[in-house]
Amino acid sequence: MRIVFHCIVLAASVLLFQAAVVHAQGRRAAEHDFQNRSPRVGDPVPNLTAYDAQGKPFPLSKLKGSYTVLVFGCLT
Amino acid sequence: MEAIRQDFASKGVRFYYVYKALAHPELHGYVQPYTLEERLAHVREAVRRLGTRIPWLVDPMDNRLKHAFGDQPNSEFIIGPDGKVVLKRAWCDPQALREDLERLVGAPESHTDPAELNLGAIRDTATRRRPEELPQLELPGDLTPVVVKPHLVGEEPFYAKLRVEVERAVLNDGEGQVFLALRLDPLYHVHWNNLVGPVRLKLLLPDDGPVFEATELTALRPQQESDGAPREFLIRVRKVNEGDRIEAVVYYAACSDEEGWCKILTQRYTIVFRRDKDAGRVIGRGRRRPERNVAVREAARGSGRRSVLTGAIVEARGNVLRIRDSAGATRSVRLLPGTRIFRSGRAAPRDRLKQGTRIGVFGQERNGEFWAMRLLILHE
Repeated sequence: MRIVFHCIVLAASVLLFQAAVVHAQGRRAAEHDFQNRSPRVGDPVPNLTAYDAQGKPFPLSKLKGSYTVLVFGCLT
Repeated sequence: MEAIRQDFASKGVRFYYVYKALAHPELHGYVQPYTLEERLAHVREAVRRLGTRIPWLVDPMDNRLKHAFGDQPNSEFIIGPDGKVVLKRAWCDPQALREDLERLVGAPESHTDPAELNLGAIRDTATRRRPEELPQLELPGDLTPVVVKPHLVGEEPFYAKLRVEVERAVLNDGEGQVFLALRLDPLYHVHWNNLVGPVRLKLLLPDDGPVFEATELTALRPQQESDGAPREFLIRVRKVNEGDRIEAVVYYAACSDEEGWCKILTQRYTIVFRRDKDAGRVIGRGRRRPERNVAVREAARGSGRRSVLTGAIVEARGNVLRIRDSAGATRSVRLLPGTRIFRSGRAAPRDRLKQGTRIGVFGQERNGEFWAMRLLILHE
């Protein structure tokens, strides 16, 4: 009985460890992707145009002149 | 973030939220917008519900900002006065951001507690109870969204929006299940009009393209006059090649109580069998292992000892790879319907398995072959 219990605990630990490894790999891959695919520190902001909340074009070149924080997000 | 903005405004620091494609559509009932106007409406909704004061920028519908800034759902960047990136983070960290800004422009005079700002929260949009006639479908565990292009013609919005997800086997092997879901967009405050008829979806297929088990799909028609529950279909498809396109026509009747109208609508889409990286992930869907993966499950339960095999592909034919292992012996590796393939920690398609590619395989010996449960591309 005790051996069965230990086997179950061992199996659960292995599964949890595997899940943690997969999760960590996913996060590392996402971080790696982000570092490679986003502008590097020291690079100019991409020369793109977004829209303001009224729907008017907003070139990112307007961000020059002071420190600016851009936070990416959405409603959900 | 709002508290940091308040504190650093006196230091001349500007803040912007960048609205991009929803990372988790269907959360709180919101669905992925089809137009810039709908994205702007989401921003107004966010400002109204959250009471934010930081201005918003909105990513155009080609998602150019999302792509150019690294495709992360919650990243942050500090841009210097010269227009160059000073700092970036894959995942927003307000405390670290505050420290960064203190280093760059000095400590602010105040330190606002976010609780003082009385910000709101995003709550579920009003949804009506799912009618009993519309049972929840039991979905496969490994769904991937594919590209859906609405045919945007005229002024009429898409009150109901189609989302299509496929089993990974559909993109990998050309065969599997397709999940098509029509959801009413809460921005328009409309409901299905069940008096007119059921929601219908017709698939128009090219002669030499994918083959569906049915092309005329009719949702169950609830007895109640109106409801807002999604209309969902799960059907099998075969002979899919990645990039294949089909057309879909949706027929439905919708009513707006607020504006006092009822309409019968016909709206068209093109569905492209290619993973849509901007479609977001519906929480609770799409990351579980394939449940239907009988062969892999059997291999996992089998009495044979599981082991790892490494070698270079000599020949790739169908689901069987012939590889030369490190001892110089030639071995057959069978790819099962649910064999997962990875390259640099990310899922990779089967067409990456070419002659000369070095691979590592986790699986077990069965019937003189090595059955692959997981396969890692080591070098191409």
